[in-house]
Amino acid sequence: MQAADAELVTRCRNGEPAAFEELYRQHAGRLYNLAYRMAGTPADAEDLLQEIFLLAHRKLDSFKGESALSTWLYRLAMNVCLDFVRSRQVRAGRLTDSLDDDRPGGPPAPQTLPPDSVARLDLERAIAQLPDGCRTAFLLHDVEGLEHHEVAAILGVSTGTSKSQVHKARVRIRLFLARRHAAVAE
Amino acid sequence: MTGCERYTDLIGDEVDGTLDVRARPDLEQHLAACPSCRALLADLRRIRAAAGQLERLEPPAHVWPRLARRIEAERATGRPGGHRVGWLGPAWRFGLAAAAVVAVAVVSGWAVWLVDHRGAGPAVQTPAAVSAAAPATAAAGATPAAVAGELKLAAEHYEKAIAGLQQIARAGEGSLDPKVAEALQQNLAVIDQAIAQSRAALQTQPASEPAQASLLDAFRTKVGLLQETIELINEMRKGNEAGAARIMQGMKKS
Amino acid sequence: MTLRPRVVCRSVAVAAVAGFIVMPGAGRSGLPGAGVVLDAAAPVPAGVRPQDDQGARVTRTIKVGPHSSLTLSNIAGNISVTGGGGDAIRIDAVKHAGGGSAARFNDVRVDIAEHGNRVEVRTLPFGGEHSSVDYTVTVPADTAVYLRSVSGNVTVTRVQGGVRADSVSGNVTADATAHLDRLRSVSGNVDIRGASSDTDLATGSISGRVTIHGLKAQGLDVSTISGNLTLDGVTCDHLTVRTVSGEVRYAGPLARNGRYEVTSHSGDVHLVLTGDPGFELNASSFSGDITSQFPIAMHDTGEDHGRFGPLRHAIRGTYGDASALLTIRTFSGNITLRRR
Repeated sequence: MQAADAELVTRCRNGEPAAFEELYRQHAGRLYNLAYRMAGTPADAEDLLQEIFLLAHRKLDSFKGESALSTWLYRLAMNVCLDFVRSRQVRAGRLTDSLDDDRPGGPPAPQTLPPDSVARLDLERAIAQLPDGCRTAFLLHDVEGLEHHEVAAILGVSTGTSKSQVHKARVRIRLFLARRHAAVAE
Repeated sequence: MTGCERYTDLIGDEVDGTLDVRARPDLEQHLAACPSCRALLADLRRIRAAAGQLERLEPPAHVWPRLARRIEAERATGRPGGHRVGWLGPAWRFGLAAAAVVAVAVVSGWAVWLVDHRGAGPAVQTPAAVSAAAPATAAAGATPAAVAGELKLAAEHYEKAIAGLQQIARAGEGSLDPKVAEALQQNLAVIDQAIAQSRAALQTQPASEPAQASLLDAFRTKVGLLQETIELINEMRKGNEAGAARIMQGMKKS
Repeated sequence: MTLRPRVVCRSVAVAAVAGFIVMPGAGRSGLPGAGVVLDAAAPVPAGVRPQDDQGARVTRTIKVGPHSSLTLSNIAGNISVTGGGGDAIRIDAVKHAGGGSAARFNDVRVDIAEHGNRVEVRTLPFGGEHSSVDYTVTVPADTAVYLRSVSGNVTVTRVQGGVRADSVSGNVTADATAHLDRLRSVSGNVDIRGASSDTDLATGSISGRVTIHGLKAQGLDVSTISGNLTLDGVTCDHLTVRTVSGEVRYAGPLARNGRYEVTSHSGDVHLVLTGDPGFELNASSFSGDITSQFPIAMHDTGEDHGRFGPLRHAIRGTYGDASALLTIRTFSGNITLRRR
């Protein structure tokens, strides 16, 4: 863990109010965006952001510096978001991963996506319908801009798994956008 | 198609911009011969680029103060407060105790610190007596007397919280544009009238649900508006300290 | 931790406006009222001036690809954004002198930054009384726009890519826009005409009024404290309306299985329903009157509360197929349901 982070963590543990706010200011933006992309609405993202930082505040004492502070926070945040998403799915009676698209053949390869099909809101929809596993990796890597080894540390998987999950997400998004564009065109 | 799976990883690396230089000739040879993979690579690149350009949201300004209050509430009660303050909905009656605790936590050192963390703000004492007198739990039962009692307790807590917030807001009002401050004041007066009317109604009909609901709605609205005002003041002040540095930074980079 | 540079730049390039922060009073907070999220940044201390003199007018044309975005933060002055064809974002910023010398307009700077397909414009103040800046912008139709002003009006027309607009004391107007997300003012009015949102739209003002003519959205959250609310031709699955003293008028159809919640203290609530509505009604008021042109089959008595029947202060019952859910609560405001 970097020296600056270690100092901040110590100050937080000492109960310095300004320190925890500093921690919040440094990380809230990224974690809010992550929560928003996981939960889907700003209102839920706001609730999740609160829960994430409350949890961080409670668990700060047990953070040993084995990883970077941001990695620890991302991991915590991801768990909070996944809990929320899964409990929501259970309440809605919905199954998560439906079709198994890891078949060797895979879905038929579409032609190149038409020029206007990667629209912001279409992309947001596409991301929202990804299965949890690859969505988390995609959000961390392609949206948040983290490297695969960091994504792997956050998700508790190997770097190879991170790469394959991100690839899977991209391919699913591609398929979703192609179908959506075809449907709209009709 | 089966031959293309071999290139999945390479295509992925190429999209990431981390393709091993030794693998490049192999990939390029394949791409030259495979329109499907060329299309895939182009699309995945666009998707990654678009993902990076998705709108970045800022967490709303009110999140931190509320979080600070909840943390303070946890510290005060010494245990994780799992309750969320439910501002809306027919469950208002059962959220009374929880709402009251959080409302009290507002009037604490954290709230003062929020306004002026150099400690030069108004000194609002934590009403220790109020904290100590823990509100009755909602499990006390729903008899008219119990509900009236809970309502009275919640009203007291709200009023103390409102008094504290008002003090803080008044102290910082100078930071606001006069016209905005006036608009906010006028609307506070509208809410105060609603509170007064609800109260008067409860005098004559203590058991009236609409009157109870109206009173609590009005309290919540008032607390919310005062919080907004304080956050507005906070940001103005915070801006006056940090903004200057940020602008200088921003100017250098842009 | 290694982040790609754009993420770091974003946190620094956050819109800097010397002005006011009010947070979005969305449904979560239960606060009836508007909210505007702005980042406060103070004027740079006096004596520091930007290197070059921009003069009274700044114009820039920026070519962009599809699905560009424009973020514009202003302090005093109006913002007007119109979506058209084309492939460029055209910015025309005109400064108007504030107090002090009119010849130089160096007390505000129009800062324009391009990050690929993302254009960020902000008005930077440099201390003291500052000039106002009026922005007139045209964008490609599919641009997403995020606009903030403190004491100016914000008007968005024919933008299809997504809209968020906030003002503190100015009016916010959206005309023929798609993908609306948030429109708020504190003391100004909010006007929405011929618009759509594909998810939830949060809108409101504290003292200003909110007028919506023709809106299609999944969810709609509208709130004021004292301003009136007029919803005409609104189609949505769930609607939450909150006010203290504003009058609420809703004219239009009810969505099947739609959930409609209206809460007011003293403002009257008038629903004028078109089409063939079927709803379950939970209406209660302390002292306001509840009248319904629709005969309601009452839960408690089972009898029909007939047309223009006796006035009551609480009605729980159904009409038609009871598919939509109406929950209306006031303290002293009257509640009326009518057919168009």
